[in-house]
Amino acid sequence: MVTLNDIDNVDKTKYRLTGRSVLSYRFIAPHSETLYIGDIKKIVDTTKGLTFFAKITDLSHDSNFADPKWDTRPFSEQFYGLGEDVFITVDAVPLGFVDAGGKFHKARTIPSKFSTVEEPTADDFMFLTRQMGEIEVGLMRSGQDVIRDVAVRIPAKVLPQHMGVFATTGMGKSNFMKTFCASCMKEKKFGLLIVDPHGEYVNGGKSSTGEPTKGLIHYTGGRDGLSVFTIRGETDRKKYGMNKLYLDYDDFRISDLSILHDLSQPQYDIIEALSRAGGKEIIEFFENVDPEIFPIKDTGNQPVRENTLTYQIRNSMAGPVRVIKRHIENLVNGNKAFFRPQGSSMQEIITDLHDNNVVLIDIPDMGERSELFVLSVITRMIMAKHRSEARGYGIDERQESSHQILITIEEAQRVLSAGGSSTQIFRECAMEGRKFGVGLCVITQQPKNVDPKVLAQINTFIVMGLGDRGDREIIMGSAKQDLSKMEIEIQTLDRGEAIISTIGIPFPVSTRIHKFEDYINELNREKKTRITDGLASGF
Amino acid sequence: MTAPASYEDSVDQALRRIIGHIPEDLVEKFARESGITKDDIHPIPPGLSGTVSAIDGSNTMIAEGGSITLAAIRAVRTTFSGNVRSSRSITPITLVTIGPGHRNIDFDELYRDCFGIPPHKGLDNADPERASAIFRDTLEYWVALQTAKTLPEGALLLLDGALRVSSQNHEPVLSDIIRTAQERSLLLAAVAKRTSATWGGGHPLLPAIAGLAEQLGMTGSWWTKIDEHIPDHAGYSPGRHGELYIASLHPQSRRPLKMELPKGTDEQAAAATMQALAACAGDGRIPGYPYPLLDAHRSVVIDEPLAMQILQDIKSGLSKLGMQNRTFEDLFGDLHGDFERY
Repeated sequence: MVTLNDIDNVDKTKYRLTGRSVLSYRFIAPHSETLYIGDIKKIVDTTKGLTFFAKITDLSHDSNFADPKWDTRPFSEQFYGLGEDVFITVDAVPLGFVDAGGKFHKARTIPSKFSTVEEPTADDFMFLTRQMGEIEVGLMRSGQDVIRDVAVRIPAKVLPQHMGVFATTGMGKSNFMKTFCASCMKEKKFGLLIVDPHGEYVNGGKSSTGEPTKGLIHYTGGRDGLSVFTIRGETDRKKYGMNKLYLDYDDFRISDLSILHDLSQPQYDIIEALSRAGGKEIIEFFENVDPEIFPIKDTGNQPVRENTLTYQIRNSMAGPVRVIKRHIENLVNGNKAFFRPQGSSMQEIITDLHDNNVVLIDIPDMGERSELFVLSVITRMIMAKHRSEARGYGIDERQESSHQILITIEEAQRVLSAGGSSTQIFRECAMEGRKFGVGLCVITQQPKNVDPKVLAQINTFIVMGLGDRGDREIIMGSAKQDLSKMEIEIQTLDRGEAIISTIGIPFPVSTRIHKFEDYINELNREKKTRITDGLASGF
Repeated sequence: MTAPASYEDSVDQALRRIIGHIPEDLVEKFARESGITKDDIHPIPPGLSGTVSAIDGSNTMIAEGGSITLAAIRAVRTTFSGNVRSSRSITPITLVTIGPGHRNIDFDELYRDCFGIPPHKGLDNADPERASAIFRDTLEYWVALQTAKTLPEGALLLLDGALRVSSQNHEPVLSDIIRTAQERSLLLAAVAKRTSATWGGGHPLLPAIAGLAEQLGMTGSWWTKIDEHIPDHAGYSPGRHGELYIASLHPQSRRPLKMELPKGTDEQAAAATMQALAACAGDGRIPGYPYPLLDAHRSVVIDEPLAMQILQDIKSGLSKLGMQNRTFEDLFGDLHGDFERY
């Protein structure tokens, strides 16, 4: 019996896996479908009982027609069946797969041919939620949308293994950092140091797009996780409960000058010669010394005593000594607001960091040199303290029990560029800090200007929109997870969006960073609820 | 004709032949001899596309042996309403054997299955290619007949090719299709993808009529009926059930189509058919060709990958039945396969 069978008019060729390899997926979607780079799709392999996840990395128009110019030929008034033979080819990069037991694995196998491509739900990401850390910064993003119930939380334990925040101006860097700080204040898993020369972290200000912003003190629920050291007046300090910032002369080392100034070799020789001297001694020496006596050739009637500072630089020329003297005078005079002969906040700062607080050094209107000076002094002292503690405990034991500190460096290319031996303390911190529980939070909009050796030490990458191809390539080459397939997504990241790649989370996660103001409002509400709960149980 | 002495001579000879078929005054000559005037070329007014069903079939050789040939056939119907495909139906791929012997057994069975009666003449296995095409036509006519019985009044039924049978077995079937279409007030046309029609002793018909239409200032879509005395070999044509029309169905199409409408179609019905055809000939890929037929062709074609898959299925089945590949090669193989390896 001859039969005429209806062909199903439903097009089943779309949204099923057609390609291609373990590391590269491909499927087609109707030509009219709205898809976005970064969309996450679920690939259900019923044959093997596995659920794969993939992220869309590229979209292109395609068709089944053999004529490659079908769409540019004239007279194209209409096309029947456009939706069947004309489609969007979707390239996706695998994120991994979940087995029947709910365990996540890296993509070491390939889904069966024609596995269906579906939209994931929050429940599908339960495995991810379990692997997330503590420091919440946003919600997982799939293309243009967020997956509401999947919060992105960076594991605190990996942060002292350095973190990099890479973004051009206006991409939401400051908002990210404040949100990150708020989470750190809430969780108190490690100490976080921030030196703020613009005074925007404390009580807000204006964003780079001119919008008014709030500051960390507005997160009242997490106030006990914040210590502010400031040079502001007493009224402000009392109002916001801030500490007065002081560094004393002995906190200073002459080597700090090399971070603040480009020194010539003769000047650097002086720095090296005097590197062991205390800060107070150095400052007093240069206050009183007459550079013109150098070099000291004849010590006949009034010989220069050995072991004095003068003796140590007796062969220097007058010029370099004059320059160093001027630099020190400028340092002392320019930082009078917090730099004084005696009395320092350093001990308190370190203690607060060890209490896992966010320590904010608030030095508004002080300029770049002051910021680097403070940062240099504190970093050096933290490193010294942690080193000595490590020597006391033994490194292995110390790693188990130590305080963890993350030091934030804004515009990090200033102090971590390739070949900059003058910024030794930050370099040491980048290379060895993790052994002593000291990590760097490297913030830069020019990662290509940061020493690749430093980038290689970073385990957590926060990538927030980089317009420069060179910057993107550096980041993709340095991240611990493969970001190479995500270049288009990085290129098209919008303000407030980020790709977070860290060794604690199984794959790079696209994230919509919480808006700081909304986030702290939420946190403040949570805190209040907890207090109410406590009262109820207390009575 | 003398055999050319070299390849270059051969090319020159071929060029002279081609030029000889298309004289410089082709259009003027055609206008003079055909007597066609502007009044005979009718513009096609724009219209909305109604219901159109297109029928097409496909046949391909799967395995050819000295005494037995295996062919695959199938037919399809695709229906559009208002430019949108509303349904598509296809017969399963059917494998038919051609040979051994003279009379084809499979054809008798297929014919009986399709039309409920035995073929009055049967099919000769002598020419497997032709036999395979007749098998395909059988399925196509069956689908066309089913469609003619069910299409709504006023719909257009489109066949691929011509209203002419290649086998006497199909005479009553095509007649039945045409009669059913007329009884049910359907529009019926068969559209040829290409034509060998000539006039005046070998001049191609389509370029002549296209040139004449252009010379007469026809800018939009148009159609004309070709009087039966114009084409060469216009005398008795066995199996012919249609009359010849030429139409340009799209203003931007440079290539008119040869088509056939049932004998006796009046001018009003012909105009309505042409309007319905033009309404579904605007697809950007092949403007001027009715896209339901394009869709039918793309749906039904048994292409090389599919033919290979069928061959593999056959080999696999034979293997399960215990036949060695060597036996298969003995039956169906030839040395061309060996040649292709080198």
